[in-house]
Amino acid sequence: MITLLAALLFAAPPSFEPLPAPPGIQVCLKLQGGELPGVKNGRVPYDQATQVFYLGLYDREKGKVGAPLFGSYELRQGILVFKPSHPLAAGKTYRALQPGIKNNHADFTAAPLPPQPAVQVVRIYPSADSVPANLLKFTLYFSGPMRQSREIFDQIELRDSQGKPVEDPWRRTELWSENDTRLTLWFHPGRVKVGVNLREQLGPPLTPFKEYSLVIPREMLDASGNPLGKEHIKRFRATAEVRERLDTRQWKLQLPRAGTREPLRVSFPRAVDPLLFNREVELLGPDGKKVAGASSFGLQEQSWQWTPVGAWPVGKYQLRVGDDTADLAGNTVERPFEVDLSSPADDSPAKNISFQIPP
Amino acid sequence: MFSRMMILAALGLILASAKPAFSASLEQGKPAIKSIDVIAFQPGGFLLIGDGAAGQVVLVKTPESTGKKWTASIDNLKEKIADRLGVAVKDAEILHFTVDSSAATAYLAVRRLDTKSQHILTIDGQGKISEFSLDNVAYKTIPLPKGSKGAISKITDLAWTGDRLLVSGLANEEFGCKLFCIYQPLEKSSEVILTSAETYHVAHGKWETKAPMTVLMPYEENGKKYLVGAFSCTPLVKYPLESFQKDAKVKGQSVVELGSGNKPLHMFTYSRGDKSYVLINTFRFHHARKPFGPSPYWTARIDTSAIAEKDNINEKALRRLDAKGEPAGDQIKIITEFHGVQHMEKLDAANALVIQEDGKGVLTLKTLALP
Repeated sequence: MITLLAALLFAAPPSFEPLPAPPGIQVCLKLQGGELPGVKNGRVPYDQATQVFYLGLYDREKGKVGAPLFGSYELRQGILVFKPSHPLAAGKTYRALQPGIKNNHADFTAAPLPPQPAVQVVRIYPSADSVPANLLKFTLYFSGPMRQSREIFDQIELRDSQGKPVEDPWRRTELWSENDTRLTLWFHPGRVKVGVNLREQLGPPLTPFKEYSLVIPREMLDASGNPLGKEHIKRFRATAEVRERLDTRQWKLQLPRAGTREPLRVSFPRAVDPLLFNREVELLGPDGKKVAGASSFGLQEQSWQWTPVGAWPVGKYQLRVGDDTADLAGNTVERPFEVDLSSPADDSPAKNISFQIPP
Repeated sequence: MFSRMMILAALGLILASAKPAFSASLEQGKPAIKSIDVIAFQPGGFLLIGDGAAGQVVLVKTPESTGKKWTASIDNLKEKIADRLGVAVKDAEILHFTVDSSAATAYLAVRRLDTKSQHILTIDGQGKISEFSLDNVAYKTIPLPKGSKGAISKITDLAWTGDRLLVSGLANEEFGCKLFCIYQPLEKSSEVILTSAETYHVAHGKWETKAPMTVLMPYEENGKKYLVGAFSCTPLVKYPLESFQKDAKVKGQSVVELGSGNKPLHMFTYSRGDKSYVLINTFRFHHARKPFGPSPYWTARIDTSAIAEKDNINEKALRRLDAKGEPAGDQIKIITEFHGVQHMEKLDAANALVIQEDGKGVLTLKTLALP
């Protein structure tokens, strides 16, 4: 090892070479004499190679180099090559150094991410400016992918009418869509359910007939680590709690005329959860098959319409409503959100809706 | 000795140690994993990875045991992990934790926030941090059925019971408890039971099916196998495994209530002399308002006699605190030495391996004697 270190004293510093595929870079060190003890060309044990040189995150302000990055080493024709396991962090500087040898290092700064349009909040469900005080969740849509992090539960605030934050309202479980553009943000159910100690001790997050603001601050980071383009505030009023089953018998249908592509319109006495509705509800035609078409929601998710791809044939239709179709408080067509299973069951609830499109 | 073994067996400490059985060989290569929600170590050297985004569990064969004794204590753990990943400390998070006790090796699921990438790291008993690359491993993928109510999006916990795999999960859109029971040989054709269990929530005196189970563990009592699950706010519930049948309603017995405002994180059983216990750590939502210690993370030791309780269940379940808010008895005890423990697993008969925070966000990986 002493011979090796002596040889390295006169060696050129490590060099960085770009790679066309991830991790995008490799680091090479030409060995004086071209050999490592006991190693021929090929894979070099990590622990042995890091004694020759390694790559670490470099903190310019503190002049400190971090521990060796994960990766693999190979000896190729007298050159020791390090390939990091993962891409380097954009905009960060890394130093390749040889332990015990001063002033023979090389630095590399990973390219910063290209400037991107600032991500913004583009939609929030429920869209209404009044919601039941036992609202279960918000669904936040962003214009671009966001950064997953537990910090979001401390960043997103619910404020009362005086601007005072409501204490710890969220269920701290990250629920992102696959592309990280949609966040499902639940209130802690223990503060929504009647009789749960958490609600008894802290109170419900929303009190009927009071005003609130949902504040998504700029400090929430997008996938590139940039803050949001601007703070987004949704102001709303809490109305009376709703603790009864969603009853499809109260839905009102506006039927299209046969032979047209007019939409079928369904209006609800209270807003529905649009994501669950889209998943749970399907329209079956006279042939018993799903009617092809497009779904959309009306103002404040209090109505829904279905526009078919082709003209409506005459016949009998069925709006098949799945058990988990719910309102904003989690009351489904099957049962209220809060139900004591030891109590007698509700009557078999009406769910599906049949209708006829006449000639 | 014989009587001690009998007692331990009766109280469930001799858990099934059968290795997962596979009728076909493992695949070799890189498993397609979308998210690493939870990890667990199982007999036979298998790491179980719960991947809710892809709706699957992945079993990965790990290297043979080295069997070295654990001697390390690693302070500033998060800084050291971030360093090895080559990112700023704020860009690294520890997601989950398990231990291969036979090799005295910790497995950590971590994520880089800047690239949304997730990684498995190992830390051996001498404190060496390595990456457990999934690029070329022997593995098996077990898909979880979507059922009629939509797919899960996150797996909250999983465990091998000796003859079946238990998995709990939750979905983005509905508040629900989804439990999967997958029978050996854990092939794609294996029978999978998807159910939602009925649970009596002691805190508000109601039977529910909707609350998601946050941690679970296999448990055996007098030769009968159970699943013990813990929920937020914070009942422990025992379900007989024999009740996990197709289309059957699974009904549990609530046996312990730890109190509201807590989310269970890890739990396991251990024995001390002729006694046996469950150790469970939790995160306290409203620590600032009503702290149980210097950290929102606190740990309780539960005498398994409470888990074995036959009469005082559900409405009469053992509560940690009485009506005056005082400790209700000595069957449940807060372990002050475990304050700040975010992750923990049993290392050996006398020690747990834990990741403990000091109240200022600094994490240390170390052993703590089982209380």
